[in-house]
Amino acid sequence: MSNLATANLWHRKTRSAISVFGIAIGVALLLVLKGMLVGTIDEITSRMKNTGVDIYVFYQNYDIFGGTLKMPLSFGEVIKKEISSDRLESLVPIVQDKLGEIGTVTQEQRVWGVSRADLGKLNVKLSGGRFFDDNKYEMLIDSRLAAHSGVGIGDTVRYLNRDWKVVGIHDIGAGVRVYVPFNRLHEVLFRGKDRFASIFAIKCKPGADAQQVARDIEKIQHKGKKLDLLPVETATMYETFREKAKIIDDFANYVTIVALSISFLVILLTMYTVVAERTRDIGILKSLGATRMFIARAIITESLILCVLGVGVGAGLSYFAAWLIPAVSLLNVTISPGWVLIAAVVGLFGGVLGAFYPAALAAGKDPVVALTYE
Amino acid sequence: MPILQTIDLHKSYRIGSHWEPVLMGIDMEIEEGEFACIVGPSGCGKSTLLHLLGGLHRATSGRIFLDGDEITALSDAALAKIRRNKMGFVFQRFNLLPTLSARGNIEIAMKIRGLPSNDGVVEVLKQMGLGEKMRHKPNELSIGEQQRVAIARAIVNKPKLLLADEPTGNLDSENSRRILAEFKRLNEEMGQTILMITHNLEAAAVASRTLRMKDGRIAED
Ligand SMILES: Nc1ncnc2c1ncn2[C@@H]1O[C@H](COP(=O)(O)OP(=O)(O)OP(=O)(O)O)[C@@H](O)[C@H]1O
Ligand SMILES: [Mg+2]
Repeated sequence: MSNLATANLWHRKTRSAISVFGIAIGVALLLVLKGMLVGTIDEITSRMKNTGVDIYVFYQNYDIFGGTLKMPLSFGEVIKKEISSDRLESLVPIVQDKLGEIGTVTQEQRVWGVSRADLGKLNVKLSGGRFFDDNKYEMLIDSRLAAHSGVGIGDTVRYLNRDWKVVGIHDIGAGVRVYVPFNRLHEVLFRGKDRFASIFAIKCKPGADAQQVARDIEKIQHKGKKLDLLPVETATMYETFREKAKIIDDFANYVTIVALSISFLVILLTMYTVVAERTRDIGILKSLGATRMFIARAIITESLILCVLGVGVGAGLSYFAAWLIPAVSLLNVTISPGWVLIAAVVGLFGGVLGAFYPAALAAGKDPVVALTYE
Repeated sequence: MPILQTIDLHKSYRIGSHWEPVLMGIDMEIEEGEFACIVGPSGCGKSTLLHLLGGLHRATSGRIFLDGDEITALSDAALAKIRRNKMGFVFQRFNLLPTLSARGNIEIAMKIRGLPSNDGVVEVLKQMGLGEKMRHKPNELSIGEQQRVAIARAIVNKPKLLLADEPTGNLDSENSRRILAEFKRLNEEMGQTILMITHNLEAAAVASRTLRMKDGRIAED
């Protein structure tokens, strides 16, 4: 049957191409959207892991994309006391904030305020310039942000109403893209003499059970009251973040449903037009003794070919986007083969479903009416 | 036993609230190997009769027998099977699938029958003088050539009965003569049974037998 289908598709090249593109857009939207979500979480997670930190301790609640609640810096001392030094390698207090704009990049960046002495404990390595001075408004940015923002060593960045001088570029991949001195950020964010931190980054001693340490931290009480600490192990961080990003995940699912509905409608409309246009051909096929099944199959085959091509082109577009988007922005897109498979199955299923009504319409045509149709 | 027989065949069309009779008791027999033609004024019901004989429409009443099968009693699927195994059709025009080549148009008939393409396809096209035009699409063929492809397709499965509805109706006299000569040759050399509708008397003269239709009946045999 395929040669009638391919001949028909070839006969209407432009329409076929548009239909393929319509489906491809739906598939690509699905893959890129999911890919962006996964890519972003992947990237944040891997950066959080690359610091070598085993457990990040947040307070009460947090949001991976920014906002973090502050807690008294003294909690760090409590943790140190509770988790004996034979299990605790290091504990780094971090003040976390967000930077709205840097150079040409308007995408929000997480900023960590960390003491100069602690940078090494987070695996922050310089690829240019020098580390900042704890007492100055100085800043480190990573090489990718530097490349995208056009900001380099010696430039100043306006942030929290201060001018911060970029003094060093660090390798991508450890923690966040922007580091400033703990003291300076603390002073600007939290006026007054109380000391706070947003996160405590904990490294365990080799051989210590990080999971157990995390559990113990969660249970810490101080002066008879639970501290409400929220330890997140880097080992299970991806899952935890996926959980936190559920709203975005849901949103992606809705967009996906919309995208696939579009693909479905594209096929429905295309095949509907095809059937109307080929009324006479259907009459001829019937006069040749074609069964309803034969005619329905011809229509569904045609739509399946469009869908297969659409899924293929859509996947191609997605992989292209996954290469292009990170090249021109700070976003990451991870296309997982599993999702390509899902998109393919859903795309093909939608194609058959969309062709079903037109196919039934074609199969049920009165041969005489079809033959006299012009 | 005749290859085709009809008994008191009636067909009415519903026009608004009443039924308009078109065929009012057709009784006819066609013997195997005959080349019969049906003539009659426009609107007398010739095409309607052909559609009933071909199982493309259902009679209001009456019976049709083709090669021993009562086709008026068959399901749509069984009728489709009869069409692909025992019948060939040639209509006045637009017989071909526009997206397929001359050869593809014939192969599709074989495919519908569940047969692979074979040398017979080329053979039948050559017979019709289309050996050079096998790869042409219908819009790359003259109307006369298109009609010859249609005939080639109608006979490729060696049907018991070839039904033609004004096959020369759209052709000039030169092409008409050629098509009629093909029909005659098929009938005489291959013993092909043909039932052809026409209102062209020249065409009717080629047939071995002429049935005249008038007021929904076969008036003269
Ligand atoms: N689907 C239909 N619904 C209603 N009336 C119809 C239908 N098809 C045909 N008719 C009527 O039946 C009559 C016979 O039509 P038919 O096409 O069989 O004539 P014909 O003999 O083939 O004419 P022609 O020589 O012009 O082709 C006509 O009066 C026509 O109007
Ligand atoms: Mg007619």
